[in-house]
Amino acid sequence: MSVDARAAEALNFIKKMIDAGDLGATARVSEVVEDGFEIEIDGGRSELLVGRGGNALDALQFLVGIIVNRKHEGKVRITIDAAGYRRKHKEALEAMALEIAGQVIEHDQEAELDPQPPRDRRIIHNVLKEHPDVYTYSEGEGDRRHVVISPKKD
Amino acid sequence: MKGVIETLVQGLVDSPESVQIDEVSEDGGTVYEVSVADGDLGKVIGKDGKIANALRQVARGLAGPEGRAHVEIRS
Repeated sequence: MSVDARAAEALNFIKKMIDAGDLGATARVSEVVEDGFEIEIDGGRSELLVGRGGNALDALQFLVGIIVNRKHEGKVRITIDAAGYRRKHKEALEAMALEIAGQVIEHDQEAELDPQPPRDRRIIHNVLKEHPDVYTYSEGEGDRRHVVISPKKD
Repeated sequence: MKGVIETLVQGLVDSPESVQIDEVSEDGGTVYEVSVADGDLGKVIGKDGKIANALRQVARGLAGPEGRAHVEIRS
């Protein structure tokens, strides 16, 4: 079954859930890639799906992943955003990464960020991937794993 | 709000027609009492209770920042 078909199935499920809960929100497939897709839920009471620190949203994403993948062979990666929570979180991380990159260049000294989950580290690596003057890598194990932003040597 | 939990539980199990959710108000919070077919119990609890805990997180979110909610799986 194609990723597109599975995205359509997940969208249907989420719309059914929104209606059943009378949340008055809208949902759409915002991105489809080779191994997964993203669904955005907006408007109405969509912020109730976010929870404290995105807790409820992570839980919902986990559950919808099980529900959509259980009927088919092979797993696809499902991302769910609600009320722009993940988008804003990503934008904040990107802004922070760029600001720290600026300091790294200014002081010509690498900077260690606080430990972050894999998803957040990936956002930092991606935004600085093409940067002309810094490069990034991760170090530390488990809960201590964090990104290091380092000046490129001439 | 009950409908959100109900739709999720129905999606997780093999016998959605046997799913029953009772919404009970308790001490200013909401308790969702979830009943499923015997054979589906593992599907709503999950390994180490992971699925039941995810349902609880969603219920807590739905209760809003000031509210409280809990999910109980009836066996």
